[in-house]
Amino acid sequence: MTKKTYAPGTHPSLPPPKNTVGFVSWLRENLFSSATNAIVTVVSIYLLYLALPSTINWLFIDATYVGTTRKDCAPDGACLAFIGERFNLFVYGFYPEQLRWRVNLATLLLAIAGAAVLWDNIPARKYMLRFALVYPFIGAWLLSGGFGLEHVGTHLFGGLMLTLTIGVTGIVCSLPLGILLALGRQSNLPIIKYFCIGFIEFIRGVPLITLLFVASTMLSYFLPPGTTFDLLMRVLIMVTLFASAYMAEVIRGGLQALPKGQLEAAESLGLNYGQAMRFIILPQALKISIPGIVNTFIGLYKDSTLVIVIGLLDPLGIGRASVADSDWLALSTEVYLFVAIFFFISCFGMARYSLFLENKLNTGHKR
Amino acid sequence: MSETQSNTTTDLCIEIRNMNKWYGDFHVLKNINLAVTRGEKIVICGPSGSGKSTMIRCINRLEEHQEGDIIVDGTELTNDLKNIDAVRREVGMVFQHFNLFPHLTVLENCTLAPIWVRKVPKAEAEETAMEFLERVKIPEQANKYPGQLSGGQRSVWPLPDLYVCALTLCCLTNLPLP
Repeated sequence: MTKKTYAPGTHPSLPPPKNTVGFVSWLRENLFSSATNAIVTVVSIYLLYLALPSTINWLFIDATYVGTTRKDCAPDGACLAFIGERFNLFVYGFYPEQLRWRVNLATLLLAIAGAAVLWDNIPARKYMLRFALVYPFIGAWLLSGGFGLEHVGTHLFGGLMLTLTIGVTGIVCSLPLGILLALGRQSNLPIIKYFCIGFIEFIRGVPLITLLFVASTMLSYFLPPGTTFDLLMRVLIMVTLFASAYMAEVIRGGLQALPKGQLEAAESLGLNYGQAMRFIILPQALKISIPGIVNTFIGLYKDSTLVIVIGLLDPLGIGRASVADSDWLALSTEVYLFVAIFFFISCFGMARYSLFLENKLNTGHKR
Repeated sequence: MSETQSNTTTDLCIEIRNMNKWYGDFHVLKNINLAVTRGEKIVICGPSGSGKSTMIRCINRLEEHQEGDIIVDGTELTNDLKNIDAVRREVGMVFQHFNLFPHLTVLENCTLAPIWVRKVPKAEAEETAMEFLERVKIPEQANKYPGQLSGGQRSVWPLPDLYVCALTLCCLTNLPLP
């Protein structure tokens, strides 16, 4: 077959050969490219065939969606009616029913404040950011009362609301604290340096559960007699301190990844310590550390389930309590699946946001 | 390097007298004397490891000298932070590996020091920066990031970076040959 010759620059653009594009060629390249791959593909399909239809059957097709007691549920389907019945408990915990509008309002305002912080193109961003700065006080006021609103004891908080409170507070407060600890650890002043090192190593050396126990039982011995600290407040403080120690080490890794020349260049320009940190070092260090930081956030968020040991009931705690209810016996699968899905949605959401943030800030440092 | 005594030190940009520096036990700079007048351009050359970069880094206090005096534009370099800041404001440096800030655009790189150290208004700093970027023929790169520039463009741009700061003294280490 003789090929037609073209003058330079005049060769027409032809479509690619048929067997390199399209679904069939994708299958051939990715699933059946060699004998081993083909065998693995066939075995995987067989395993999926064994597992998937029965799961889908159990979860969706044979499931009971409405009902009031265990007897209403079909024996070989998921008893999703249980989740529906207990849904309010899972979301609000024991918060008084007539005051739940406050929780709803606080969550809505949280979504607005969160959007202001996380999303660049939001309109009137400056005012939204100022609102986000004030939001913690508004949220606390709405949830626990005082100053005109009826007071709600924090022992009544539970479920999804409790997880969000602990998670969001822990995340928002531990990041700045972690940055300060990381910078302090690198400081040349011995008192600051050794205080930061000691703090980080002590917190990392003890499980979070022991810190929660300390918070709930022993803290009153360390404080002047008569001062009572709200239990949830103690938990929030402990969770924040715990996360900030881990965060400090993650950020320290990011700081170390920067070439030394960056700080030298900043100093040569005449920037002082604060300016060098703010404009040069921290933006780059935090950008590099985003995977580690979000990792710590996700771990912190799930660690909030540990509050069950001091009597606060998060969704997992409520799930376990519900499993023991006489109306709904032996429904642990549905309950744990529901809690797992809730956590998965939150944590996966955080992971996707982190990926979005990395791509947005990518100015060539990503490999 | 020869020793020069001058009765009027007002036209001396850099004066180094009997400077000695050690890295731990290693005596790297031995009895350095240097006098550079305003407007003078000097080249320091020598074999690898002879202390050229070290001496230049001592001039803007990226390294500390243990003995001797360094006087830059009338300000003596000691441990006093105010003096160090005053010197760094007037001394510009181009590094061997350029040390550009990768998270800022070219324009932001050039205007960072004027805006925050010399307190020049932003519009004026940007105007001066664009002028000098045009002089080195890369004005269209002003809003790109260092990662998006070619190697040649990256090597050329530290120069407008220095000019924008309207500096008294420029130190270029391992100057890339054009």
